[in-house]
Amino acid sequence: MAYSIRLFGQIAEMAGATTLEVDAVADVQSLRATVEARIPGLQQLPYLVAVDKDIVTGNAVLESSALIALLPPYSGG
Amino acid sequence: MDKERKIKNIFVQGAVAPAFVAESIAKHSTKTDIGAHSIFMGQVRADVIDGKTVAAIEYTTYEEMALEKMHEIREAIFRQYPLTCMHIHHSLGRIAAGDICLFVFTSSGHRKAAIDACAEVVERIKKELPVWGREIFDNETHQWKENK
Repeated sequence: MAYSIRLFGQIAEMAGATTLEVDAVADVQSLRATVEARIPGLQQLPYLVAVDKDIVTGNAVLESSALIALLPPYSGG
Repeated sequence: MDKERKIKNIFVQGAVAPAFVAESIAKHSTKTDIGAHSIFMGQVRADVIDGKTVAAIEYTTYEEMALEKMHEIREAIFRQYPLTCMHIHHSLGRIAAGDICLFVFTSSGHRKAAIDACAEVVERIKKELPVWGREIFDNETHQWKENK
């Protein structure tokens, strides 16, 4: 099972794509390590992880159906 | 007050036209229980950074999440303040310096609720909505906007 992660704003620019395919991982912490290894510069950015459209603070187990997105700092308005 | 509010789309492609703002105000003349309107408009500022001038901001969003979050904020604000109505329009795409990119419009019987609700909604939009602005300079280079 793999995830198709949605990328936004500066993160999409850094990755050169709006989605990133990642093999299944157990939790958000492992996901962070995986995507930081794949997207150069991401580790330096204070980004958020959204699972099923909710921000995950700390760690959380990932269901195989999880809808995952990486969100750089907001700058709307 | 409405008991069930549907998720509304707040996003518009391109700038908010001043004429649209005027029409929005005019539409409320039939709602005579309103005694106060408060309006906030965000305008794209031509900041000068390292000798380059911001010509436009290009806005993108995680729309499904932003609309759900905006719905939560809207419900909370209606619980907190005795508002008659609230309208929010946020631009997406490339908005030129000098154009309006955010329009928040609250109405109530008396001024305090409209003013306080409007201010709080603007703060929450900036802090909580997954929206991103890319500042495009006059030489077509860019940087990512940061909310202060």
